[in-house]
Amino acid sequence: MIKFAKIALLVLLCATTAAGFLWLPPAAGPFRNQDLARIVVFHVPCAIVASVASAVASFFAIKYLWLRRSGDDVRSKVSFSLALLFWILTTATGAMFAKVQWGQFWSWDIKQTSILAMLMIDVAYFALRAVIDNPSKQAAAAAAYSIFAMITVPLLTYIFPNSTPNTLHPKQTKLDEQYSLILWTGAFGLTCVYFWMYQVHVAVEELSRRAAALRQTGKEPPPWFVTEVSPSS
Amino acid sequence: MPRRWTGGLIKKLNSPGSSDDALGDAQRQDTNDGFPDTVSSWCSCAVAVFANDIRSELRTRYAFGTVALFAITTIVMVSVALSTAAPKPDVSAAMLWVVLLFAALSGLARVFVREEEMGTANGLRLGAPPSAVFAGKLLFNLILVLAVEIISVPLFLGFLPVKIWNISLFTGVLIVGAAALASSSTFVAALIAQASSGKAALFTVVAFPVLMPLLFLCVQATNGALSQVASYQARGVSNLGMIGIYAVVMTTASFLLFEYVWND
Amino acid sequence: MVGALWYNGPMKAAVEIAGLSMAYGDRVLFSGISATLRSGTCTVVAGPNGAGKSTILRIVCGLQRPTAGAVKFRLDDNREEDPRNFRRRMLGYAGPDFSPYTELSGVENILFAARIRGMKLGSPKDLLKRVGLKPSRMDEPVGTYSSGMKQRVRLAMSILGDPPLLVWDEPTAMLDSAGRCVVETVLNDHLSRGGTLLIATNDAAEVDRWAHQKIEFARE
Repeated sequence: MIKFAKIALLVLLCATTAAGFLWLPPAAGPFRNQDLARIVVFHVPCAIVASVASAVASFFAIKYLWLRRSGDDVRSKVSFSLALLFWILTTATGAMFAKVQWGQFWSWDIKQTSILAMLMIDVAYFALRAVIDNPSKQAAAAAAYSIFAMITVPLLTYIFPNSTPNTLHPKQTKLDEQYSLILWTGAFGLTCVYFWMYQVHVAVEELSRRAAALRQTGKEPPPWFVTEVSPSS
Repeated sequence: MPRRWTGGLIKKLNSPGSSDDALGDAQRQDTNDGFPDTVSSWCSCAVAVFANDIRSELRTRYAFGTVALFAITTIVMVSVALSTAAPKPDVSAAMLWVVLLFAALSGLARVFVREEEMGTANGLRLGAPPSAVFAGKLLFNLILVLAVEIISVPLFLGFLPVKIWNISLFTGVLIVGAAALASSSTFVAALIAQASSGKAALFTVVAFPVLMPLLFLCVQATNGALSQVASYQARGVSNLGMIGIYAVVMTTASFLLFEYVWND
Repeated sequence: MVGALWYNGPMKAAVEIAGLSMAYGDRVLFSGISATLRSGTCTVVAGPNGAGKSTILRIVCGLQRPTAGAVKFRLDDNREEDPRNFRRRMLGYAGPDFSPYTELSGVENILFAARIRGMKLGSPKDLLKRVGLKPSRMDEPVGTYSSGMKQRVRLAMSILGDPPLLVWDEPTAMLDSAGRCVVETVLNDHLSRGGTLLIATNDAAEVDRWAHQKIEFARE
């Protein structure tokens, strides 16, 4: 059953990608390169998945700080790494379009800035994890940092745009039916891919921890005894 | 009759009080169940942590000294580099905040990193409520940032050709920006203090993503204060409001999260 | 003769350790340790280096979170006290992972420790005298002290306010014979007033002399 679903997912993604290149008509509207503008059906799904991944990671970070179960820490870490992947893809597809449309790869549009902030938070998250050795401290610090840093993201995306009314990202666009179809199908497919990758990575991480524990069973901890004595003084 | 707290900070800490008991063990505090857990005891704990840091600082001059020198050097460097360029207000505003940020970041981690490295952090963990510890450290960092600004800004105004058109906006951004900077950085310092090595370099890397929106807002607000254009000034004032929001949100978040990081 | 207690509360405290386990990632240090530390007794944790003696003490103090298990504190041998409140006010810890501030003097360190706990201290010098610190050095920065003097300051900070539970990790480390006498005096004093002690030590003679109860890690 699962295998069938995976094959169906593969077919769906191939079909969506192919349709995006071959079937989708050039974008109507003030675009410099109307064929390239179709990149929106790749750019937006990546952004959606990256946001979902970041949200999942934050959820598990909060859960870890609350319950202190190492499984939650594993899930948070894996989700962050996947979020990093998808944010990079989002930035890359966005930059390709930006170069053609507005003449430069980066324009400090507020959405671009907030995605840059997300990328930097993600990288700093892993840098922080790398320097703290103690596992429980590492997990707690990473979880706290992720929550703390994520708070700035809604500040960036919703509150600050009011201060800079001119943004390059379109605020309200109407998508043609064909675009909608490809975009949302792609988003669905890509989200399924994310969950698949997430489960695999989590399983691998937990298996590797268990394997390391198995390697250690040769060395049992020394037995301990509690005895009542009376002091000789 | 419960004893009242008297005021005074360093004076009190330095001079022993009166003593009823010949051997001078600590006096009875309160007559309920014996444990005064009031707001005033929390406040005096936070103030004690703060005063302790100030006193250490006055004796060793470590943080203020290095941060001040760093700020002065950087401003001179920037001014020399821009001496032939006659920068516009927006460039000057940007330079000011980059210098302030780097100078502050060089010294803001000290409050927690030094405690962990010298082995004194556990004393605080054992004896003080975590939120009071954070409050005391936050206050110290706030003073540190303000001190850096007091040193840097006059130099900056002296070296670079800027004219302040809206002085209240300019000082407002400096003060509120300092508060926002101190609160975020103190929390990140608490995180980075747990690391076993590479703390100083990593502090800047980990703190910057959080400070990015603040940098953006402060530069834009300062730009408004330095320019004649009325719309820029108005935008600067609204940015100041947002810096305030940022400061409040980040301070609240830090207080809520600190305990989870401080105690294992 | 020792001074009055600073809080108007009970002096007897018992500690219940139940099912304490500690694992670092995958390496299990110990598991399932259970014991009761009754008031008026001294419990000694003994065993080879690295077995986890200090870890148990740190867990009791709240400085480290165990992988499993719980520590309960009871006053007057039946009323359970909130661990955080107990650890702040009724527990005194002295160990190698806790140092006084080197730029402050011995007196200032004591005053600071009292201040953060909300205590008003009458005469810190008497407290330092009790642990045998030379009066002439009490106002000098701790950075100038020898390691034995620093250890005395640690002990003084642990008995600040006469807490009912004392947790000492290698209390006689770096102390000369006079220092060891001081430790014995304070220890016996504390026990005679019904206080509880938890000590970790490598010294077998100390284990024999002091222990009412031993938590022992067998040698591998």
